[in-house]
Amino acid sequence: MKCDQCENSASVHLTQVLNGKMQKLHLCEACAQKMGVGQGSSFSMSDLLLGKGVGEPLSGGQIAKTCPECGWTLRKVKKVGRLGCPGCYRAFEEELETLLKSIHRETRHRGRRPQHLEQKMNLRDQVETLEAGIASAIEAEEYEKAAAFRDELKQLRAQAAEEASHDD
Amino acid sequence: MTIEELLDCPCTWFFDHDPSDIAISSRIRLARNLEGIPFPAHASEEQRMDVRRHSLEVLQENTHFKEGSFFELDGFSDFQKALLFERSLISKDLAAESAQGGLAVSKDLRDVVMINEEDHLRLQVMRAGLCLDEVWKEICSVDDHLEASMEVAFSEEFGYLTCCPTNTGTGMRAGVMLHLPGLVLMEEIRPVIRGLGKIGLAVRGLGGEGSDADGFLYQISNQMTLGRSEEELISEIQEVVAEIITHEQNARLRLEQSKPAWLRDRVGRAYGVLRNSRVLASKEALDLLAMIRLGLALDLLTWDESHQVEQLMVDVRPAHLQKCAGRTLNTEQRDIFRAEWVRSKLAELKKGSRL
Repeated sequence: MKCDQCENSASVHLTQVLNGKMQKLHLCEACAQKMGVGQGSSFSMSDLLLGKGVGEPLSGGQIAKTCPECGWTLRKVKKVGRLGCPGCYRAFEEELETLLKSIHRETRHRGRRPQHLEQKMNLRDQVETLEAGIASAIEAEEYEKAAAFRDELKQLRAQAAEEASHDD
Repeated sequence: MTIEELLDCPCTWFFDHDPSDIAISSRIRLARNLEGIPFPAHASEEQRMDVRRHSLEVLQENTHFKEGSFFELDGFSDFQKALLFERSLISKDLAAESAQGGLAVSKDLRDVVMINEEDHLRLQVMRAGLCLDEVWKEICSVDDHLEASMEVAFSEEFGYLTCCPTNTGTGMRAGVMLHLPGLVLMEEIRPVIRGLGKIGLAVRGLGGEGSDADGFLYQISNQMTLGRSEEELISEIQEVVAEIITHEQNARLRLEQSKPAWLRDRVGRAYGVLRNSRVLASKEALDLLAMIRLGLALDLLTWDESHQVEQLMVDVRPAHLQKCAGRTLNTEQRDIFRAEWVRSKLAELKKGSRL
């Protein structure tokens, strides 16, 4: 059997189940060593898989998709296992989701945000909470409560608009 | 501080504890990039220069780096970079590829920012002992200041945008270095490593990614960075590490109870070899010194200055050894000098034995 990375014969064989699909890798001694396989548990399968195309096979059109900011194609991202610039995340959003899921089992960030966004997000969360509050108050026919929520929401929106104008 | 002065300072995070401490150090690093600029490997020389200039300017205003040191790595010799790497002040990658690379180090050498590594910025905070919570607080404060002064690449969906998708999200690697001779000698380390892998934690040796566990030293860190908050990841590591420490303590107790003669033999032989060898390779030296550290922890050996064992664990690494020698040595010469250096240091020590 040939090595997945070069023409030599493979002597290292790996199996991992990802998204319910079995992924197999066959590597020669040299490639395995280059990738850190066989050095305890330090090696990460995801690094290898990045170069192999995880998940759904990509069509010819997809693979030629290009990041408008740095000019990288999806083919290059798949091959190198790295991205070219922050813009690549926007350009390849759809395809990256599959890839990120295979690495982290999740696709959405939870955790720290830059502080200026944190404030903006808090505002958005508050607006969403109030909107939901109004809907449930109306449903329960608690119109006074709904009106109070509505006033609060108005105030919050004004605040948001003011902050947005400062951003410009 | 000049680079020479910096390299003369002791690495406090490695010494600030007792040989019986199982957790050697806690470290967190955050990967950050600047919006609108290609990641370092694909940026032009000019863009990399701009990133470095701008980052160093911002860092000089950062309170954590007050009286700190700021370097451009281009002119550094391989030897200086190897010393920085052995002190965990730069990564292996930055040591190998340091064109337009930059480095900011705080006065106490605990806070570090690497510039133009795989990502534009790699923030790192390191402390002695098990203290990821404090390290996290500290690194957040460095990060807050950076984010207030530079536009960091971030998306609501994917979090912090990094060059390698294995870091996307929090961009965080939080880890603790542990000294686990008890589990190794009782042959219980493999199931621990396997178990950690199953819950998504990575185990690495002293030298970081892809390195062997020389000197019974293991770094345990998070593998996944997306979908869970930093606090969740950190508290999981803290919990798991606390459990491993209990296992290690139990393994040491059982070692003393079930194999007292064998344990004393191993410690005694380690000392014998270190005291009498004439050719000593780096891995062998680390393994033997780690056995001495265990002997000190279990009171089988007593040294007046017990931190000397940690000092020696730093001295025996290739670049530091050449610094001790004051000259360049090839591998063969290093092995001979290493034996000589350790013998002379051991001869100077006031020590006792209860073997």
